[in-house]
Amino acid sequence: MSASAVSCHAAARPSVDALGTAYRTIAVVGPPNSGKTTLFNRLTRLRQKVGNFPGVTVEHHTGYVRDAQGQEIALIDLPGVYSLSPKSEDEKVAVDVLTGQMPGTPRPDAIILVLNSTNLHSHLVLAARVIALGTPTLVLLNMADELHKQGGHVDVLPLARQLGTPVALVSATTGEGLVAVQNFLNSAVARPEPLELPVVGSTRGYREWAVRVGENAKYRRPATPVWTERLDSVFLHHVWGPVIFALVVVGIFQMIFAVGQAPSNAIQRFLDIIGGRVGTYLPQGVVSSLIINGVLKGVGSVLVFLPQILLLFLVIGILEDSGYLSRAAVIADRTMSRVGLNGKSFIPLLSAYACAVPAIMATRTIESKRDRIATILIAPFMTCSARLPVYTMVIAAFLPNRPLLGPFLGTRAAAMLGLYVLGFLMAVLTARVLKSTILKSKDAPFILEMPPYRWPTISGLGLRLVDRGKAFVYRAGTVIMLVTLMLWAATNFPLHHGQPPEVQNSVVAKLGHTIEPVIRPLGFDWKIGVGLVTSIAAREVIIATLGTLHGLDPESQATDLQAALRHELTPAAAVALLVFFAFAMQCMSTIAVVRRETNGWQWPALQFGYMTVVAYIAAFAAYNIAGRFVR
Amino acid sequence: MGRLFLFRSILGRCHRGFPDVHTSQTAVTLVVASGRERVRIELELKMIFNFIFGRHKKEHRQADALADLRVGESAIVSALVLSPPVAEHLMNLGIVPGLKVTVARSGPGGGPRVYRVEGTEIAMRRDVSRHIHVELLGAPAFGD
Repeated sequence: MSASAVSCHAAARPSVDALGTAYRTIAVVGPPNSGKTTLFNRLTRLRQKVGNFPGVTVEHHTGYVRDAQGQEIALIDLPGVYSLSPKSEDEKVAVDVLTGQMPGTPRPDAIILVLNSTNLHSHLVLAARVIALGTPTLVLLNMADELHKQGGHVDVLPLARQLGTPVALVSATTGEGLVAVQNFLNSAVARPEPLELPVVGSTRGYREWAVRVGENAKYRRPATPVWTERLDSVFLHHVWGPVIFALVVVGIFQMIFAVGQAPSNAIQRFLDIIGGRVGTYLPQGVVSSLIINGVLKGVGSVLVFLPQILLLFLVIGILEDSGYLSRAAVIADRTMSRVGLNGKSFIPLLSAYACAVPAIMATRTIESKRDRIATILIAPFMTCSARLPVYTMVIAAFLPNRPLLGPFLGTRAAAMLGLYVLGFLMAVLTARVLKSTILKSKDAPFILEMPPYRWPTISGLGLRLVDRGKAFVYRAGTVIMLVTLMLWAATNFPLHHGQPPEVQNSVVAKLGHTIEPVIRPLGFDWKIGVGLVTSIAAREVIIATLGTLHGLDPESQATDLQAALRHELTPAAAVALLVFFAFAMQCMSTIAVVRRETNGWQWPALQFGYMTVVAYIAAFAAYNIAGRFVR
Repeated sequence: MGRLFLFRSILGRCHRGFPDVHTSQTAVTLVVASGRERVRIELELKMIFNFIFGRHKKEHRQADALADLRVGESAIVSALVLSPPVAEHLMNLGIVPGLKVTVARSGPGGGPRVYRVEGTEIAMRRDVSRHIHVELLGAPAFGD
């Protein structure tokens, strides 16, 4: 049998070589948090979001690698699966792709199975199931560096013999052993021989088989990392755990203000210089007005917030990559369960602090459909990074920065923290209402794997920052630019004797004055009203809008945006504006992603309506209450 | 304190009402007579001690569920009495009948506890661990 297999293999070789590589599509599969995405990124030099907690990849992504002949091979990065009986949406994606049922994705010709070598026994169970599909498979035992450091051991050859597939011990982080992948890509391997799997298809049977296979490969499990134990004894401590959790959250906000301000000012100065240059070189007229007032004042006023956004993503990235986020989920579970949500909802909700769009996609890891909808519906209440520019500007315009708790917490950071808490409380309240009415369900069980702590790598964090920075600048250059240009056009028409009209007579002003009666009770004038309308595209657009409107208004042209805001809004109206932004769902991308994830318009429509009503009522209340205290 | 007082008052009343109190080095025997019945109550000193100081530690504690284990204790999983998807998920993580599970640590408050099985750490709430039946291994085995 084995002799015939070898000869068959040898005979097959030349024909394969003649054809080039047999593989066109290769799927990367593995259990959650086994390092598939890190491997994928390393192989394709594409940047996917990687994090040190289970369930980061919820969609499949495709990247391309080249084999020795220079042929392109599509590499599909799949969400982590523990088994091939899909339970949650993200696992279903993986299984559908593997079995060729995913529309638009061909059935993969080969599979790269990434297992965590520090936890071989439970991961071999998945290997048995994947290899049983009969697709040529390369088994990668990832995290070899961790395995060796902690005294673990495994022999690759006996394992390969037992599994009937090539096996390699690799480290996606250090790049160790990845030559095996290139070899696999370059030489088509015969289909795996049918595995002698346990007859009983029970997980227990598989597990016993896995232990036997592991024993034959002289597998020795590494010791639990000492530092993970030590850190957990602090981070999950009865008293220190929650205290550190709170400190981490407060620290993030303080840092965004304290560290982010200087580079932000630098960008502002840079843009001012450009504006000045353009003003001197270009003749006064429509073009100069378009560039200075339309583009620079509009888009520039948003770009200024790039440092703050990057800082936020840096901190969230460190929390994710280090593994602290899973611990935070444990700490938060008790609070979350009081609301009727699961600690697992906490991770999507926490990433909603960066942006609601990935957060809503991350809800795919929640098995309970109703819990998932509930989490989707409350995610946009979490203060996303697009609110950050609005908050920062309004707070900076109205609130002098004074130390509140020594150097640790200033008034501005405290106000910001308050707004974050406000959004969170509304999310909690909404969850409560939803869970006790239309989305009533049994408590989903909280079961979460705790990854060991790892050092976040500079390259991992750096790549993500570059990605997020690009996305932000891209948005400023597209959506925000477009809205700004339209706005500029609307303020410069109708032409009056060939000259642009006074701002008060422009199309925009007409629009603004039309909606003014609606927003008057909140203390907003027509300019803010225009901002509210344009910010339905994206929250930060309001700043660009106000930048353009003030840039065109001779009254406020010379002053900076903050001073213009003080001129525009009473302090009470500023509070109302902040509250409105805390609650309103002003984001096209979020609406689109909710529609996609819930397969219909009813949930996003309900959500948009509900959030707008809440925002309006809350802003009205805030305006009237704040009006009594501040003048 | 309250229990001590209660115990003393019972003992005191026995002394007055029923004089038959025998003490030995290991036990106190009360012979209670009411009407025609005579009841012998034997109280082991160890029992009295435990009663007073609240040591209810049983010698052969029967921990049926993972939730009943204390931090640091280990047990062998015997059955998962949970809905199939949840049980399947747990088994994929390593909570498989026949494997040894250790309570690694308890979270703050009544929050989830962290269990360790074969090097994997898994956090779960009591409402799950209550339904995982185990056989107690007792104190950590030698060389564990």
